[in-house]
Order: sequence, then structure tokens, then C-alpha cells
Amino acid sequence: MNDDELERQWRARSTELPSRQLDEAIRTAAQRAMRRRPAWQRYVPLAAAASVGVIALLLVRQAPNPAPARDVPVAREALESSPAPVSAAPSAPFAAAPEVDAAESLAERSRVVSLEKEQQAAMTAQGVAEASAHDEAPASAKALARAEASAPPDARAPAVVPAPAVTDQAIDGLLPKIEALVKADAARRTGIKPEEATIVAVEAVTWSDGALGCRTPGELAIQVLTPGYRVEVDAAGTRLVYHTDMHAQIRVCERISVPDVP
Amino acid sequence: MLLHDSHDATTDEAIMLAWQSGDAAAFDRLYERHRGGVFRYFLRQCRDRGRAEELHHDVWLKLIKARDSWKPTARFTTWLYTVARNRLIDYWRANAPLRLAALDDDAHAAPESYDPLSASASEQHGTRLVAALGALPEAQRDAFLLHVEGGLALADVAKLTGTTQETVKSRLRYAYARLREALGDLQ
Repeated sequence: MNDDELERQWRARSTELPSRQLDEAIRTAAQRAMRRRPAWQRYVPLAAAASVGVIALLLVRQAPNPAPARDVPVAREALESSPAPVSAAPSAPFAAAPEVDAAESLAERSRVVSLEKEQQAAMTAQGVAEASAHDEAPASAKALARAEASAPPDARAPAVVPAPAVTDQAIDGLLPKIEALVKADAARRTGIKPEEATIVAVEAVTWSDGALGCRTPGELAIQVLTPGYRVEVDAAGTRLVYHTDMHAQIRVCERISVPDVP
Repeated sequence: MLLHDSHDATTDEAIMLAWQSGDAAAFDRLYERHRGGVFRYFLRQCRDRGRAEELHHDVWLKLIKARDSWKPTARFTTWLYTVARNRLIDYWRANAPLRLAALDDDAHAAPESYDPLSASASEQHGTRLVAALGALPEAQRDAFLLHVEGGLALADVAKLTGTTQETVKSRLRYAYARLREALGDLQ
């Protein structure tokens, strides 16, 4: 008997097989493995959900805030035909860009930064307002506290954060130097004496930028909450509306009734 | 290196690739081809059906787990019986450490001696052959089972067992001689 014949006889007689149950168990395990996804695929839905969440968060942060409750179209129209706003002292830090596109781009970047600053300032103001609720709190702190309750302003619009129901109290609180500056400017514009100008109304306002809500086209302004006043002055029949801060900056934003005297 | 044309659905490697790519029926074909050989390899080595089934199950589960990572860089049967042999060695290491060295020791005596003259005349060929195989030294039995049950070429057996092809030939020659001797007058 040669080797091949021996192998043939061996194969003919060695025929044991695993049990049927064992075969079934192994085949079932193979089918389960086919249905099971690879480990990395199990994390795909989780990763997708996380990505969507991150994108949504970014979109929310990038989306513009609602427009302010109050717009001042008259001011924009008036300013376009008027000389540069008067400032009795160095104005708040801002710069005019020669190109509008570049200015808007910078304004967009600064707006994002300013949102965080506004929130911080509002939170600070809220703390101040609460601490001095019954004290002689400065008008600026009160205005900031009130501003916190209102919607955040949009930097593209002449952002104004109005303060409700302040008139009498604000007139009393108007700083004398601001009153003097406003009257002097109104007198100069209308050709009367400063003492002949009359303050008609004063409103404490927190402006949303360093330009006191009176930016001219192409003008850049630092995005920071600026407490001040909206002062309405009657000068020989001409009604001038000034936006001021709490120091020495005033701007004419609205003119009513008669144009400037050249 | 792809050893076989993947369009050749008859090779083990092609079937394995088909299974990898999602053909569930491919596993059944592969299992059907090799279930007997692997099982009998364990059965002849352990001489215990329960243990053989346990080891057989382990090997196929390992193959299932390795489905995604398997690459056709070697013959499928070589890979399969390498896994099987390693599992057997692990089993012996855990259960009978003294037998471990015997796999590579041609001079090691068989754990059970077999005297063909003591077998009754009524024994069938199969019984005698199985008994004679059990009486072979471990290394010869291992080479014989890998070659005959596993269908491995001599070169593959040599590679798998870490010896030369000449050594495998020698082991097989002794094994065949013992088996022929066991058959004796039944030839």
C-alpha cells in the first residue's frame, strides 16, 4: 500500500463531524457579526449630533440680534446733510475708515466683541442698580440697569437703548456742564445767545456705541455701552436733539422745524 | 499580496473576501469546507469529542472576529490551521504542560503505545488507523493531520510548524510506515 492509498483509506474512514448544535452556534455567531457594525461606525451618529450642535451654536452666536425698538431715521437723514458733529472734547475712541467695505468688515468684527462687552457691562450695571436701588445712584448706572432689561442693540442701526419713564428725574439729573455745552452749541448754530436756548426734554439713555447712536456713513465707533442723555433744545424755534455722554461729548442727531443758520 | 484572483469564487481566499464584503452565505461555504478537517484535527489530538468541540468553536469564533482584519497575504488554510494549532498549544499549556514540548520532539514517545498484534482481527481499518495515529509521536501525528486532514502542502506544514520541508517529509514517512504497519494483514 503506497502513501496515496493510505491517505485515501484514512479519508474514507475519518469522517467525524462536529455536532449540529455546534455548527448552528458558529453559523449564528457569524450572522451576528455580519449584522454588527464596525466599532467606528457605532460613533457616527454621536459625532453627527455633536457636529450639528456645534454648528447650531456657532450660527446662534453669529446671527444678528433683533433690531432695536427705536430707530431714528430723521437723525441719519439730517446728519447726511449737516457738518460733522460737534464735540466739545476729544470724542470716544473711534476712527473713520476711507472705504465703506473695510469699515463694515471691521464693524462686524467689533460687533461680535462688543456683544460680550455689552453683556458684561449690563451685568455690572445690574449689580450697581440693585445695590443702590434707594440711593442717589448716578444716572448712568440707572440707565445701564434699565438697558440690561431691553433688547441688545444692533450696531448696524443707530443703536439706541431707550430708558423708560425718566424725564423729570433726568432733567434734574442733567449735568450742568452738559447743559452748558448743549446750549452753547445750539446758540452757535442758530445765532442766539446761549441763555436764550431752552431745554425742552431730557431723557437718560444708554447708547450702544461710542458714537452715541449717531454714526455717520462709513464712520467706525467703538462698541461699548455709553450712558448719556438725549437732550431736546429749543433755540429760537429750531428744535435740536443732542445725544450726549456723561462727560463732554455731544452730537446733534436730529433737527426739527428749521434748518441751520449758515 | 493577493494570492488568488478575487473573481475566482472557488478559492478559500475569494470566499473569505466575499464574506468580508458582506456576502453572508460565503461564511457557510467556508465553514462547510473546513468544519470537518478542523474538528478532526482537534479530535485526533485530544481524543476527546467534548474538548475537540470546544476548541473547534474557539477557532471559528476567532475567525469570525478576524473577519474585517484578515488579509489574503497567505493561503487561507495555512492561516486557519495556524490558529487551530496555536489554540491547541494553549489548551495543552493550560491542561497538560508536559505534552507541549512533544509537538516538536520527534523522539518523544507516544502517550499511548499501540501494539497492532494485540488488536482483534475484527477491528476495522478505521479503528486501527485511528488507534495507530494516536500511538504516533506528537510531531508525526501533527504533521500527518495537517497534511491529510487540513490538506496543507508540505511547505505549508513546514512553515506552520517552524521546521524544514525535509523534516516534515521525514515525519510523514515515519507516520505512514507506522500506519501501514498497523493495518498489517488487513492491507
